[in-house]
Amino acid sequence: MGKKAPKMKSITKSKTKTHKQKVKSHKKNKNISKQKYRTKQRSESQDKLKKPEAPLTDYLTHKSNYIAVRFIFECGIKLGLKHITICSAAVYFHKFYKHVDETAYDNYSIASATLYLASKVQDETIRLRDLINVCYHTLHRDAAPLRLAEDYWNFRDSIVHAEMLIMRIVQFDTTFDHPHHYFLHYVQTLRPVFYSKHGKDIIVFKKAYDFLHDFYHSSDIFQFKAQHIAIACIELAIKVYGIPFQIIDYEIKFWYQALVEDLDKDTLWNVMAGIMDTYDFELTTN
Amino acid sequence: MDSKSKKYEIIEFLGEGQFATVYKAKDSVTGNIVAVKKIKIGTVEDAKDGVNRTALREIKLLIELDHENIIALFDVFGHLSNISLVYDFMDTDLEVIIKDSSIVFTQSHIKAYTIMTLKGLEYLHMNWILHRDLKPNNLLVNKKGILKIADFGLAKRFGTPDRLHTHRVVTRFYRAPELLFGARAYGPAVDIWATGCIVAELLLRVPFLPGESDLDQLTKIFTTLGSPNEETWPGVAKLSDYVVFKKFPAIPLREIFTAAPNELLDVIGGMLSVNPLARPTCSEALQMPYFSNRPPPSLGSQLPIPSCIRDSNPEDQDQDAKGQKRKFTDYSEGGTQPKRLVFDNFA
Repeated sequence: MGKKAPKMKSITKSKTKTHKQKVKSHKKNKNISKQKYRTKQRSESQDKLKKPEAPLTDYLTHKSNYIAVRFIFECGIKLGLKHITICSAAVYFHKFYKHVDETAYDNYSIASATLYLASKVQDETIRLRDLINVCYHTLHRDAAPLRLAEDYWNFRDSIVHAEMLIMRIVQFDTTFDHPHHYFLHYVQTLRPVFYSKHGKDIIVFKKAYDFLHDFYHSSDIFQFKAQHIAIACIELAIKVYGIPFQIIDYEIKFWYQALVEDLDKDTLWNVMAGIMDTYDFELTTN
Repeated sequence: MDSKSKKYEIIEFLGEGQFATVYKAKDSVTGNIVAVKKIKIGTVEDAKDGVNRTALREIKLLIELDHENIIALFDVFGHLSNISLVYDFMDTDLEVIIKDSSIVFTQSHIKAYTIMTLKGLEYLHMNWILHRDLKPNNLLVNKKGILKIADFGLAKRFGTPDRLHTHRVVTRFYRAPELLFGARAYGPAVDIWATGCIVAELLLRVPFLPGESDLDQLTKIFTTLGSPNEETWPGVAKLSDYVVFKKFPAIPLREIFTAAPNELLDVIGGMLSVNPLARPTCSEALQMPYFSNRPPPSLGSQLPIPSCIRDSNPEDQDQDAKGQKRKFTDYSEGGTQPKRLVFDNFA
């Protein structure tokens, strides 16, 4: 997914700093290789910003909720919103379509309005004009920005009305327990353990964070507890990278039970299956 | 949604603020009396911007809160592009009680109000919420004498270190010095300061520090409580709007509050420390000896009721309405006669 690049960039920014300091104090050799890796990463992501490797999604030819959430993420990142704001928007979107027939309203109007609503709820005000320009450009990539004419005002009205409609459909409940809060705490707890035994900690957690955001593309996110989702993302990333057993000893005790007591293996596998199912949507839509 | 607006029968108009009109209404299902706050769509610009931010903030925060001394949000409903919020019905507010010259406060009354305010505030702060607009007008009191903190239009979550807040908050009389100096990273101490001002107002029956402008507010604070320096308030000079003041000595609180017991002066003195870090937290304040010493706080039923409510006979609706109206027109900014809510025409 092309839109992932800026996301990764921003989360690693603060982490690499502390990492750098740590590495410096440990080993010089490693420092160099890490540095290399990082610069490669950075230039890659910069390239992606200019010219993404993944083809840009042509939103108008696809109509599905999965693609609409991708649209939310793309617009949200372009608008420079915080991840939690974008994720809230995705949550409102899913909540909305839980109660409403998928064809009843235009996906992208609703998606734009959820972004606007989320930015208000999270106290991260964006101007409606900016939102409209970004959303319009994302939908019509080659078109010139909307002039301040009838089309623009119609777009604006439809977002404002959709926003009110969303509020009513979600019954004015804008709260959601995002897994992010737990995720960051878990990562902070796990990182020292990982780092001492395994060099590739950042990439594992980065991948876990990507899983987390990809899971927002699926309305299954409501079915699990936030803590469980956070753990499942980390566990899935660990499995994907094949972290060897001497680091995580499953024989003694499941590592995650030290963090979340009410999580058993079956539930965890269910959540992980849910996360992986999200990727099936992508196949069907492309 | 239609069924919901019919669920509430409007009894009377209560008041009008900057952002909303408030009605007294009856829940036709349960029979409870509630207050319905209908958010105004002021200008065309507002309407174009969609859902009112203040209302959204209030809904978002109140939906998660449940405490005896916090106003309860029962319901929210939308009609066209309007949002209405349904709260506990509260008979009056602390400002009315303070200004009612027929009421004489005893030490127990003051203690009871202070405790209720602090308990509500403690709960808010424990949930990482800053109220940012505490004033007697926002402390509602019902006939049972229970005080509830209301108006969360400026409230915000705090605790994320890199997240800055605006310093343009809190009604001026109750605004803490760090806000007046332009601090953008502040904490629960701003609410404590406001509470300190309110307690002082309970004793004096007039606003304690009625500044006419932001600068005058600082002057009033420092001439009364002493001007800060780097020793009494480390880091004060680094605040963005810091201005150097002439050295004022602090006036002993005993000279201002002649009738107050020493323990209460300790509470006020602590809450009104010019250095925000020297102010106690709500929990610390509640542990101070004043609150456990004699006399005990009044029970709710013993607390004074302002004359406008006391006079009215519950069965006589007209008189009740008159009393309410007098009360609200006295204190609301807008004097225009608001439109009546008509709910029938969209059934």
